[in-house]
Amino acid sequence: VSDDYRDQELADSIELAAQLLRTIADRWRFRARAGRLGHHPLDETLRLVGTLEAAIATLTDGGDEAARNVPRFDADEERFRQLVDSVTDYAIFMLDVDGRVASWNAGAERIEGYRAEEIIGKHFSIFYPPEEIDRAKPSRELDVAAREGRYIDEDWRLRKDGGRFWAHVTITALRDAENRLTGYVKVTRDVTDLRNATEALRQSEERFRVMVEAVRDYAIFMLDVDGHIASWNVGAERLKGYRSDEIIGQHFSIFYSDEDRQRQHPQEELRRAKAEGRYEEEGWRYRKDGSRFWANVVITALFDDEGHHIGFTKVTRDFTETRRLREAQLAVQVRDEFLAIAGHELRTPLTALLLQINSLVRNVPTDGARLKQRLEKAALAGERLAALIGQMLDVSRITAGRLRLDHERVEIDELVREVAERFSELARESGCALVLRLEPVVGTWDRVRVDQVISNLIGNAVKYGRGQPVEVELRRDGSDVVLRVIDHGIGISADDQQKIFERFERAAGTREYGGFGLGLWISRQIVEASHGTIDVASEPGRGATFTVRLPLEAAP
Amino acid sequence: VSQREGTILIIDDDTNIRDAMRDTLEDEGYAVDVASNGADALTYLHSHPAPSLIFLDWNMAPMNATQFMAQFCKESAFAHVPVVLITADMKADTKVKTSRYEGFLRKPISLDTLFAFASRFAAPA
Repeated sequence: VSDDYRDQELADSIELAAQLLRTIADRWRFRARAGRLGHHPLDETLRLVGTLEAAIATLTDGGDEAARNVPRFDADEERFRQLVDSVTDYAIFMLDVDGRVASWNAGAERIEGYRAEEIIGKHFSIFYPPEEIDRAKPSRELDVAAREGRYIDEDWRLRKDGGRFWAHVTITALRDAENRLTGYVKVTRDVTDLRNATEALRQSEERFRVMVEAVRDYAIFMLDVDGHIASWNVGAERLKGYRSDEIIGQHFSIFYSDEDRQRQHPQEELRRAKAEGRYEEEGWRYRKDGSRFWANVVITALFDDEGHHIGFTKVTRDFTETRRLREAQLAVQVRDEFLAIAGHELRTPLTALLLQINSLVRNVPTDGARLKQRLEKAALAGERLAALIGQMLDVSRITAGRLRLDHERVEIDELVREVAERFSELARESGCALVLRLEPVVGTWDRVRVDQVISNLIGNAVKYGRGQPVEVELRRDGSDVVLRVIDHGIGISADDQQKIFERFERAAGTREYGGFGLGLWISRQIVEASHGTIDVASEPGRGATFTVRLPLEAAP
Repeated sequence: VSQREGTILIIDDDTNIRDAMRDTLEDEGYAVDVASNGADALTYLHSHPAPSLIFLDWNMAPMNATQFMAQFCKESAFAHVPVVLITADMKADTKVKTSRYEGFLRKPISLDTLFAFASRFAAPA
């Protein structure tokens, strides 16, 4: 009795446990299918449910036969069905053992496009693209599910309208208590968007890789943690001369000079890049053919998500030209500084020399005419030298941005007359009649600098217009004054007209006409600093007309 | 403005300029003394009769024109001594306008200007 009783008690307990497990399993299934199990993947949850069901089967197998007929929770079953039906994010449907659709939910209708009444009873291969059907994929999937319990796949599937979507598919085999296959549950999700995003990322990475590989002006390559070359781009091949198949795997110190290698400089660079994240320097590097170039190098240490050091990227640019340019700029700067100092230093003894000569000229006895003439020639040479030194100083002042304008009221017609007077003797010697047509004009300018421009133009006209009259016109034009200096001399070709306002340019030959070729450049700088313009009209052999236009009020 | 008895003092740190100016002025009959910088000049002034005229170089070391004038103007004994600035600066007018200089000699020095200043302030010996 007692044994029977105990057996009965055991059976009851087992049955109770089985009921509890069944309830838990069902509830889990409801929640899983309704998507209310948090972040647990549905498949994982359903697998747990499967495990629970297996446990129930084990418990009840050993128990009373009646235990198996204990009423199921029909109300729950109904609710489960309703839940599954209403899920829209997942297509959840049953297949019979042959693969024909046996049930259909709202998600399936939404995702696959078929209504329940048009799909139930149809073979599920209708969801597959023709090429997959040809390869018998649908039946293979069922075979796998039947053999292993479950089949998982991601692939293209067809909608009713023929459109394709990227599907995440789980097929779970259903078995009865005797382990007989009763059908399949198929859960399908449309993950096209997810796939597109992943694909976009992959393409973006691929594009980036292709781009890096295609960059020609920069050598971009990767080093492993020890400095062995791990990747190579077109720019690297172009710059260093190695093909990727001959350089990958080599140590990057191959690009360095023997001295750099001996003092372990490449290793030092990596050490600093790793310690500081980034290392930059400039220095000589060597190509495959042994020639060297001046490189700008940036080494960046690479770390993975966990902070482990995984290597370096190295970007190398050829700065040979940049370096040359920098050196040239430095040379120009040194030259300009030298000109400024030299100008000042040369001028002082020249001042003393001229003073001595001019003083001697005064004191030559009355019978010393020839001596006086020669001293005067010496003084003229000295004055020419002084003028050249003055130009040299102007150039260094202008290039250093130290041209300073001091504005004052100027009767510019009077100034032109003064300058013309200064040139009267030279003009007479050149056989040039100076013809002045001057309107009275008053404005605000730097008197000394405007004097310099007028002197330069009249001086040039007398120099290049030998034997012909030189005309100087001045008139007011609105809020500007316009000065024109017209000669009838050798003229200037169209090409040369572009150049004469540049430094050290001259249209005429150096032999016949002296000077630095700086006068017009200096004049242009002065005119432009006064917010004016200077230009020339000329034809070879027919003289030249220089026109200066200055605003009356040059002050800013 | 009147011509005064006494020597002309030239203060310039460049030997060639100093000599050229001295030679030139002496040839015209003036008595000339020289000093090679502002400090030298102050020493000279304290041990000699006041000069009739001073030619003062702008840029000198160890004591330049401005530093020299600061000392020079403090002493009432020199209040009547005219000073002419020697400078290479194109903008010398502005320097002269704002101080007690009688005028300026621009480098390269023109004989006419040099003699004009000399004859205006000093009498040949």
